[in-house]
Amino acid sequence: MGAYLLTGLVLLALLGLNVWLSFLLEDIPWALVPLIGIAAVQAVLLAVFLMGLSHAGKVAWIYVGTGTFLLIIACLTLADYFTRTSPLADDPPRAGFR
Amino acid sequence: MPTRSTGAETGGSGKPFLPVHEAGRFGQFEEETQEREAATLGMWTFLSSEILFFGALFAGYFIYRMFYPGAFAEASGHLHRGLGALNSAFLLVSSVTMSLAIRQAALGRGRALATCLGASAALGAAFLVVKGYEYGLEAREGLVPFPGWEFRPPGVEGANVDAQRLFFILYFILTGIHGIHLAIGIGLVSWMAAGALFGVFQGPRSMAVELVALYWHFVDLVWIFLFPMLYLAR
Repeated sequence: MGAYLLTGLVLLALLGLNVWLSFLLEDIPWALVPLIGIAAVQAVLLAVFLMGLSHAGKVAWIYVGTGTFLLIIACLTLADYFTRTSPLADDPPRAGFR
Repeated sequence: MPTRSTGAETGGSGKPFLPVHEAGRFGQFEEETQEREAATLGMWTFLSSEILFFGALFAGYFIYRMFYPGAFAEASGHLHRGLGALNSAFLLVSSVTMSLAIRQAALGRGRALATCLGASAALGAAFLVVKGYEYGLEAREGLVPFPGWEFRPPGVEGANVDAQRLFFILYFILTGIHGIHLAIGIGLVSWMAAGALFGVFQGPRSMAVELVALYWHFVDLVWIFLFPMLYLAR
């Protein structure tokens, strides 16, 4: 019971940190990276301690492993997509509205 | 001449198959553990399909954010960061009360279970009330990008309007679908809270609470990422 309450307090503290950081990093283009990073830490804490992954069976861990693998694949695909420029396009999409 | 059994009538287990209504407490399952594993597998499979569904929307958001970083950051500035943070706190606390509910269910404490489930449902409902209020504010500020509404974000002109329209389309779709998921969760949790008062969902039947809790935590997880993506990165 205490572990649940402690996890809740840590999650709220991380929420506060995220909001504070968002004021600090306003107008900075890469601000999304640390903000999503803190959110990822919150998600892991919630999954492990509140969703019960810390004492879950093999089935849950198979799903978590598969999900992590899919996430890595998706990140690599997106990284390729964002860093590739088409030789046919004079005006790539990222040069559009800004 | 003796006839050989094919094993089909016993499923190979040596026990005869029975119709579900005669099969005892665990239906077609041999024991509680098997039923629990099957149910957990089903719920994780369902949650995986939900992750793929939201994953596509998240990927769409990140792609357009890379295309139009300035316009998306500016559009995010029109949202109410304080209300978003308040809603995040509601959902995080509701996840704690949901985990406490699982413990009370396993211990067979009906009234405490009902209290924890009721608190989770109430916090979820508070989230939806705040979200509704927020939607009202956004409608008044001209931030609704759908047909029949005039999209006119204050102080924005030219091509930026189109990129900001894209942000708000994604914002309303993502938060709207999340809200629908939460409303379904509130319905399930309220039904369980009412049942808990009459002694249901305790002890061996606490599995149902665990499964709904998994769904509830998943809805919370989605919001944990939506909040910085939509409200904080500006």
